[in-house]
Amino acid sequence: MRVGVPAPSVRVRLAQVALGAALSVDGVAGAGQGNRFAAAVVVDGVPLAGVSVIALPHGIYELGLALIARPVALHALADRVRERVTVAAGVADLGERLGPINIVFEDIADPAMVQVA
Amino acid sequence: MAEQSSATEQQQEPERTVPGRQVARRGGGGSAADLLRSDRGTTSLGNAVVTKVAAIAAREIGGVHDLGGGVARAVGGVTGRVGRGTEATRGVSVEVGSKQAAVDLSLVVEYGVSIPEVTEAVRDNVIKRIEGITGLEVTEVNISVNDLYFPGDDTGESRVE
Repeated sequence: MRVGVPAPSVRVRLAQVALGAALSVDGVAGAGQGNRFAAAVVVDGVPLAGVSVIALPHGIYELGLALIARPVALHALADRVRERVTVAAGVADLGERLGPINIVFEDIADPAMVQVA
Repeated sequence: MAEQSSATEQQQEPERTVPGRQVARRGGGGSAADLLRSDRGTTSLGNAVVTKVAAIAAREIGGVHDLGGGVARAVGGVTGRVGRGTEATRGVSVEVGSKQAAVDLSLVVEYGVSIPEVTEAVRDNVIKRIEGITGLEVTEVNISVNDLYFPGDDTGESRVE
Protein backbone atom coordinates (compact mmCIF):
# COMPACT_ATOMS: atom_id res chain seq x y z
CA MET A 1 0.00 0.00 0.00
CA ARG A 2 1.41 3.29 -1.05
CA VAL A 3 1.53 5.99 1.56
CA GLY A 4 2.09 9.41 0.13
CA VAL A 5 1.95 12.97 1.20
CA PRO A 6 -1.66 14.09 1.33
CA ALA A 7 -2.62 16.50 -1.40
CA PRO A 8 -2.78 20.08 -0.22
CA SER A 9 -6.22 21.34 0.59
CA VAL A 10 -8.08 23.80 -1.60
CA ARG A 11 -7.36 26.44 1.00
CA VAL A 12 -3.61 25.89 0.89
CA ARG A 13 -3.53 25.64 -2.89
CA LEU A 14 -5.51 28.83 -3.18
CA ALA A 15 -3.12 30.59 -0.81
CA GLN A 16 -0.06 29.45 -2.72
CA VAL A 17 -1.50 30.26 -6.13
CA ALA A 18 -2.76 33.67 -5.03
CA LEU A 19 0.44 34.68 -3.30
CA GLY A 20 2.56 33.61 -6.24
CA ALA A 21 0.34 35.49 -8.65
CA ALA A 22 0.27 38.62 -6.51
CA LEU A 23 4.04 38.71 -6.12
CA SER A 24 4.48 38.46 -9.87
CA VAL A 25 2.61 41.70 -10.51
CA ASP A 26 4.80 44.63 -11.48
CA GLY A 27 4.60 47.13 -8.64
CA VAL A 28 4.44 44.54 -5.88
CA ALA A 29 7.74 44.46 -4.00
CA GLY A 30 7.00 41.63 -1.62
CA ALA A 31 4.68 40.03 0.88
CA GLY A 32 3.82 41.75 4.11
CA GLN A 33 3.48 40.23 7.55
CA GLY A 34 -0.28 39.92 7.42
CA ASN A 35 -0.60 40.74 11.09
CA ARG A 36 -4.07 42.13 10.55
CA PHE A 37 -5.38 38.83 9.32
CA ALA A 38 -7.39 36.74 11.71
CA ALA A 39 -6.00 33.47 10.41
CA ALA A 40 -2.78 32.33 8.84
CA VAL A 41 -2.25 29.60 6.29
CA VAL A 42 0.30 27.13 7.61
CA VAL A 43 2.11 24.82 5.21
CA ASP A 44 4.32 22.10 6.71
CA GLY A 45 4.34 23.98 9.98
CA VAL A 46 5.44 27.24 8.41
CA PRO A 47 2.98 30.10 8.10
CA LEU A 48 2.69 31.59 4.64
CA ALA A 49 3.46 35.25 5.15
CA GLY A 50 1.12 37.76 3.61
CA VAL A 51 -1.84 35.59 2.79
CA SER A 52 -5.01 34.56 4.53
CA VAL A 53 -7.74 32.27 3.24
CA ILE A 54 -11.01 32.01 5.09
CA ALA A 55 -13.84 29.70 4.16
CA LEU A 56 -17.19 31.22 3.29
CA PRO A 57 -20.44 29.35 2.70
CA HIS A 58 -20.90 27.29 -0.47
CA GLY A 59 -17.25 26.30 -0.80
CA ILE A 60 -16.03 29.79 -1.51
CA TYR A 61 -12.92 31.22 0.11
CA GLU A 62 -12.23 34.82 0.98
CA LEU A 63 -8.67 35.78 0.26
CA GLY A 64 -6.54 38.31 2.12
CA LEU A 65 -3.26 39.53 0.71
CA ALA A 66 -0.83 41.72 2.67
CA LEU A 67 1.63 43.29 0.30
CA ILE A 68 4.54 45.67 0.17
CA ALA A 69 4.31 47.85 -2.89
CA ARG A 70 6.60 50.04 -4.87
CA PRO A 71 5.58 53.71 -4.92
CA VAL A 72 2.94 53.46 -7.63
CA ALA A 73 -0.78 54.20 -7.73
CA LEU A 74 -2.10 51.67 -5.25
CA HIS A 75 -5.74 51.43 -6.34
CA ALA A 76 -4.72 50.52 -9.86
CA LEU A 77 -2.15 48.12 -8.49
CA ALA A 78 -4.80 46.43 -6.35
CA ASP A 79 -6.96 45.97 -9.44
CA ARG A 80 -4.04 44.42 -11.32
CA VAL A 81 -3.35 42.07 -8.41
CA ARG A 82 -7.00 40.97 -8.32
CA GLU A 83 -6.96 40.34 -12.06
CA ARG A 84 -3.76 38.32 -11.91
CA VAL A 85 -4.94 36.28 -8.95
CA THR A 86 -8.27 35.59 -10.61
CA VAL A 87 -6.59 34.37 -13.78
CA ALA A 88 -4.11 32.24 -11.83
CA ALA A 89 -6.89 30.69 -9.78
CA GLY A 90 -8.75 29.87 -12.97
CA VAL A 91 -5.69 28.20 -14.48
CA ALA A 92 -5.27 26.16 -11.29
CA ASP A 93 -8.90 25.10 -11.52
CA LEU A 94 -9.72 27.06 -8.39
CA GLY A 95 -11.65 29.86 -10.01
CA GLU A 96 -14.99 28.61 -8.74
CA ARG A 97 -13.69 28.65 -5.17
CA LEU A 98 -12.35 32.18 -5.23
CA GLY A 99 -14.40 34.81 -3.40
CA PRO A 100 -13.54 38.39 -2.51
CA ILE A 101 -9.87 39.37 -2.59
CA ASN A 102 -9.03 41.81 0.19
CA ILE A 103 -5.74 43.58 -0.26
CA VAL A 104 -3.78 45.38 2.45
CA PHE A 105 -0.80 47.43 1.43
CA GLU A 106 1.31 47.31 4.56
CA ASP A 107 4.29 49.30 3.45
CA ILE A 108 6.06 50.94 0.57
CA ALA A 109 9.45 49.72 -0.59
CA ASP A 110 11.87 52.58 -0.34
CA PRO A 111 13.23 53.30 -3.86
CA ALA A 112 16.74 53.71 -2.42
CA MET A 113 16.54 50.27 -0.82
CA VAL A 114 15.19 48.76 -4.02
CA GLN A 115 18.10 50.20 -6.02
CA VAL A 116 20.62 48.84 -3.53
CA ALA A 117 18.96 45.43 -3.63
CA MET B 1 6.67 77.92 6.82
CA ALA B 2 5.01 75.73 9.34
CA GLU B 3 1.29 75.99 9.45
CA GLN B 4 -0.13 75.98 12.88
CA SER B 5 -3.03 73.62 13.07
CA SER B 6 -5.82 74.48 15.44
CA ALA B 7 -6.94 70.89 15.59
CA THR B 8 -9.29 70.13 18.42
CA GLU B 9 -10.30 66.75 19.71
CA GLN B 10 -14.00 66.08 19.71
CA GLN B 11 -15.18 63.69 22.33
CA GLN B 12 -18.36 62.59 20.62
CA GLU B 13 -17.25 62.47 17.00
CA PRO B 14 -14.08 60.50 16.37
CA GLU B 15 -12.88 62.98 13.81
CA ARG B 16 -10.01 65.37 13.52
CA THR B 17 -11.17 68.88 12.82
CA VAL B 18 -8.99 71.28 10.92
CA PRO B 19 -10.00 74.59 9.41
CA GLY B 20 -12.50 73.72 6.72
CA ARG B 21 -11.59 70.06 6.64
CA GLN B 22 -12.01 66.88 8.59
CA VAL B 23 -10.01 63.72 8.78
CA ALA B 24 -12.22 60.80 9.64
CA ARG B 25 -10.40 58.55 12.05
CA ARG B 26 -10.49 54.84 12.20
CA GLY B 27 -11.15 53.16 15.47
CA GLY B 28 -8.84 50.80 17.28
CA GLY B 29 -5.60 52.56 16.70
CA GLY B 30 -6.03 53.01 12.98
CA SER B 31 -3.43 50.65 11.61
CA ALA B 32 -4.89 50.84 8.16
CA ALA B 33 -7.48 52.78 6.26
CA ASP B 34 -10.17 50.94 4.35
CA LEU B 35 -10.27 52.79 1.11
CA LEU B 36 -12.31 50.86 -1.34
CA ARG B 37 -14.95 48.25 -0.99
CA SER B 38 -16.41 46.31 -3.85
CA ASP B 39 -17.80 42.88 -4.62
CA ARG B 40 -14.28 41.85 -5.49
CA GLY B 41 -12.88 42.81 -2.08
CA THR B 42 -11.47 45.70 -0.12
CA THR B 43 -8.26 47.64 -0.51
CA SER B 44 -6.61 48.92 2.66
CA LEU B 45 -3.49 50.90 3.40
CA GLY B 46 -1.33 50.66 6.46
CA ASN B 47 -0.22 53.86 8.12
CA ALA B 48 3.33 52.93 7.20
CA VAL B 49 2.41 53.38 3.55
CA VAL B 50 1.42 57.00 3.94
CA THR B 51 4.38 57.63 6.26
CA LYS B 52 6.84 56.17 3.81
CA VAL B 53 5.39 58.01 0.82
CA ALA B 54 5.59 61.29 2.72
CA ALA B 55 9.19 60.63 3.68
CA ILE B 56 10.23 59.73 0.16
CA ALA B 57 8.42 62.75 -1.27
CA ALA B 58 10.08 65.12 1.18
CA ARG B 59 13.53 63.77 0.40
CA GLU B 60 12.95 64.27 -3.30
CA ILE B 61 13.13 68.03 -2.86
CA GLY B 62 16.49 69.72 -3.25
CA GLY B 63 17.58 71.55 -0.13
CA VAL B 64 16.20 68.92 2.22
CA HIS B 65 19.20 67.35 3.88
CA ASP B 66 17.42 64.98 6.21
CA LEU B 67 14.22 64.33 8.10
CA GLY B 68 13.88 64.62 11.84
CA GLY B 69 16.08 66.86 13.86
CA GLY B 70 17.93 67.10 17.10
CA VAL B 71 16.87 64.29 19.38
CA ALA B 72 14.98 62.42 16.69
CA ARG B 73 18.09 62.19 14.52
CA ALA B 74 20.27 61.12 17.42
CA VAL B 75 17.80 58.46 18.52
CA GLY B 76 17.22 57.43 14.94
CA GLY B 77 20.92 56.97 14.42
CA VAL B 78 21.11 54.64 17.40
CA THR B 79 18.03 52.63 16.45
CA GLY B 80 19.34 52.39 12.92
CA ARG B 81 22.59 50.91 14.20
CA VAL B 82 21.07 48.42 16.62
CA GLY B 83 18.77 46.79 14.16
CA ARG B 84 15.35 47.61 12.87
CA GLY B 85 15.75 51.30 12.31
CA THR B 86 13.22 53.91 11.46
CA GLU B 87 15.69 55.83 9.38
CA ALA B 88 13.45 56.15 6.37
CA THR B 89 10.46 57.56 8.22
CA ARG B 90 12.13 59.50 11.02
CA GLY B 91 10.58 62.93 11.42
CA VAL B 92 7.29 61.95 9.81
CA SER B 93 3.99 61.47 11.59
CA VAL B 94 0.72 60.91 9.84
CA GLU B 95 -2.90 60.63 10.72
CA VAL B 96 -4.76 58.50 8.25
CA GLY B 97 -8.51 58.38 7.89
CA SER B 98 -10.79 56.55 5.52
CA LYS B 99 -10.46 59.19 2.83
CA GLN B 100 -8.04 61.79 4.09
CA ALA B 101 -4.63 62.08 5.65
CA ALA B 102 -2.75 64.75 7.58
CA VAL B 103 1.03 64.86 7.72
CA ASP B 104 3.54 66.41 10.13
CA LEU B 105 7.14 66.67 8.99
CA SER B 106 10.36 67.71 10.70
CA LEU B 107 13.12 68.73 8.33
CA VAL B 108 16.80 69.51 8.36
CA VAL B 109 17.41 72.01 5.60
CA GLU B 110 20.70 72.87 3.93
CA TYR B 111 22.10 76.22 4.93
CA GLY B 112 21.66 78.85 2.23
CA VAL B 113 18.42 77.68 0.65
CA SER B 114 15.21 79.61 0.99
CA ILE B 115 13.29 77.85 3.72
CA PRO B 116 9.89 79.15 2.57
CA GLU B 117 10.57 77.91 -0.95
CA VAL B 118 11.83 74.53 0.19
CA THR B 119 8.96 73.94 2.59
CA GLU B 120 6.42 74.96 -0.05
CA ALA B 121 8.02 72.59 -2.55
CA VAL B 122 8.01 69.81 0.06
CA ARG B 123 4.38 70.46 0.86
CA ASP B 124 3.38 70.38 -2.81
CA ASN B 125 5.34 67.20 -3.49
CA VAL B 126 4.06 65.39 -0.42
CA ILE B 127 0.48 66.20 -1.38
CA LYS B 128 1.05 65.19 -4.99
CA ARG B 129 2.69 61.89 -4.10
CA ILE B 130 0.27 60.84 -1.39
CA GLU B 131 -2.79 61.73 -3.43
CA GLY B 132 -1.36 60.08 -6.53
CA ILE B 133 -0.22 56.88 -4.87
CA THR B 134 -2.84 56.31 -2.20
CA GLY B 135 -5.86 58.21 -3.46
CA LEU B 136 -6.22 59.88 -0.06
CA GLU B 137 -6.91 63.58 0.11
CA VAL B 138 -4.22 65.36 2.08
CA THR B 139 -5.82 67.90 4.35
CA GLU B 140 -2.68 69.43 5.78
CA VAL B 141 1.08 69.15 5.74
CA ASN B 142 2.62 70.79 8.78
CA ILE B 143 6.35 71.32 8.49
CA SER B 144 8.83 72.30 11.12
CA VAL B 145 12.43 73.02 10.21
CA ASN B 146 14.38 71.76 13.19
CA ASP B 147 17.93 72.21 12.08
CA LEU B 148 20.22 73.54 9.39
CA TYR B 149 22.88 71.48 7.72
CA PHE B 150 26.26 73.01 6.99
CA PRO B 151 28.65 71.27 4.60
CA GLY B 152 31.28 69.78 6.83
CA ASP B 153 28.89 68.91 9.64
CA ASP B 154 29.43 65.25 8.88
CA THR B 155 33.24 65.33 8.85
CA GLY B 156 33.55 65.63 12.60
CA GLU B 157 36.74 67.65 12.20
CA SER B 158 37.64 69.84 15.11
CA ARG B 159 38.26 73.52 14.51
CA VAL B 160 41.01 73.59 17.07
CA GLU B 161 44.08 71.45 17.63
